[in-house]
Amino acid sequence: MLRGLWSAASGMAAQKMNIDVIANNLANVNTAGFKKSRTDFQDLMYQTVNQAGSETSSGEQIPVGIQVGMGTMPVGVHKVFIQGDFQETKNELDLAIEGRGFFKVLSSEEDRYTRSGDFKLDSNRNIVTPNGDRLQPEITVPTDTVSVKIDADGTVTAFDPQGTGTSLGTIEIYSFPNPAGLYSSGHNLYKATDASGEAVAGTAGTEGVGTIAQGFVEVSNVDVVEEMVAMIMAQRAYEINSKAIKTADDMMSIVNNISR
Amino acid sequence: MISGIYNLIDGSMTQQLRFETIANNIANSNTNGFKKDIISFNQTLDMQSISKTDFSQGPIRYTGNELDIAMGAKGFLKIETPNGLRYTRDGALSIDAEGYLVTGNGDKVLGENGPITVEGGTVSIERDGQVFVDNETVDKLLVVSFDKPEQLRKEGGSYYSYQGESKEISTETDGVIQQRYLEGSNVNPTQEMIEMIETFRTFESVEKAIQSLDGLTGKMVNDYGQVP
Repeated sequence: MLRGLWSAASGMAAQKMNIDVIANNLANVNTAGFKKSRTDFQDLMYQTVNQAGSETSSGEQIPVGIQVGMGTMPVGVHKVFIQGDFQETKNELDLAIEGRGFFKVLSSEEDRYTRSGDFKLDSNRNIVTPNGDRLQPEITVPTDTVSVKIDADGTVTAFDPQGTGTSLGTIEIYSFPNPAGLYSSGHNLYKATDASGEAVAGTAGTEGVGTIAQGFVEVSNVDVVEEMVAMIMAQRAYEINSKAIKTADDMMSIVNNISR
Repeated sequence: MISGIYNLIDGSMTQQLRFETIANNIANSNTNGFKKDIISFNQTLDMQSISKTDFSQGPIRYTGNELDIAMGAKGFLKIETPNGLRYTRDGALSIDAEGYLVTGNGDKVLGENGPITVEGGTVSIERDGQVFVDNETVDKLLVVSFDKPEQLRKEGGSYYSYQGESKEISTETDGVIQQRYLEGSNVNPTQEMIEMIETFRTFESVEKAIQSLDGLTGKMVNDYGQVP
C-alpha cells in the first residue's frame, strides 16, 4: 500500500521515543551526577523508483531518478557527558569530579561506575553510595575520626580528636575511551560495554581525568529550557506525522470509493 | 474516449509519489543533517517526474557536546564504510571502543591521514577542521564538496554515495566547522503541510475525474445502445 503511511508511522514511533528520553531527562533534573541523553535519528533506506541515467521512451537520459525514502529511525540514544554545575553542600563525604572521570563502586559483586558523589558511611564505616555500594578501592574510616579530608588528587586523610591525621588511601578515578557508550544500569550507575571500552584507572589531577572537590555534589546537567524546547519540537513533529497518516488514510479511502 | 483514463491514472500515481516523498520528509523533520526531497517535473522529459534533493542549509543549534559538529553550506564528511566511501552531513559523532572518531552508525570518519584516533582527553575541533586532543594536533577532518551535488544518492542512515566521477569531488579548504553545534533537518513543517494538502486535493480531483470518465463511459455503453 502507500509507502507514505509507513514513513509517517516510523516518524511517530521515533518521536515517541524522543519524548520518552526527554521525559526521563526532565524527571532527573534534580538527580546528582545525572547525565542527560539525546535521541539521534537517521533516515531509513531509499527505494529507487526510477534509476538515474536510464532512458525515456523518447531516447533521452534521465539526469536524476526518483528515490522515495521509507521514513526515519532512532539510531542511538546518546548520553551527553558535559559537566553539570557544582552545588556546595559542605558535607565532607560529598565529592564532585571536575573532569571526565568516574568513581568505581562494587554493586552486586560487579564493577559499576558513577559520577554521583554523594557518599555516606555504612555500619562498618565503609564509604558507600546511598544504595550501599562500596567505593573502590575500599576505604574504611576509623571509629575515632572527627573529620575526613579528601584532597583534589583523591588522598583521604582521617583526623582523630587529637588532630593527628592518618592516610586512609586514595580514591581512584576511572575514565573511558567512549563514555557515551556506557550502559546505564539505574541508580546513577554505569556499566562498561564493548562500545565504551575498558575503564582506565587514573589518579585525580593527571591525564585529564579530573580532580575531586570535597563538599560539593555535581548536579544534573539537564537544562530545563532546552528540554522544553525539544519537547515542543517532538510533540509537533509527532502531530504532523499523525496528519500524514490521516492523509494517507483519506487517499486510500478515495481510491476505495472510485467505483461504487 | 477511454484513453484519457490512463493519463489520469498516471497523474494519481505521481501525486501518490509526491505524497510519499512528503511523508518521508515529515518523518525526518528531526533527523540531524537531513535534506528534504522534492518531486518535480522535467519538461524536457515529457513531463516525467524526478526527485531532487534540496541541499540548502538546515538550522544550526547549540548542543554543548564536544563531538557534535556542524558544517558550512556545501561540505560533507567523508566516511569509510564496509560498502565503500560514503558522505554525510550528520555531525553527531562519537568515539568507538578503539578510540576512532565514528558516525552514529559506527563507521570511521576520515581525516587527511585516514581514520582519526581521538582516544583520551578533551577533543577540540577548530573552524578549519583541525582536530586537537588535549591541545595536541591529531589530524584534520576531510570536508569535501561536489561539482554536481545532484549526483549524490541517498543511501539511508544519513549517508550519500556519489554516482559521478571522483574528479568532481574537491576538498573544501574554507569549510567552516562549528564544534558543539549540530545541523538539524532542513524540512519546514509548514511548507510540507501545505504541499501535503495540495497533493491530497489534486489526488482527490484526479480520482473524481476518473469517476466521471467512468460514469460517462457507463452511460455510453448502457444508454446509447438502447433502442428507444
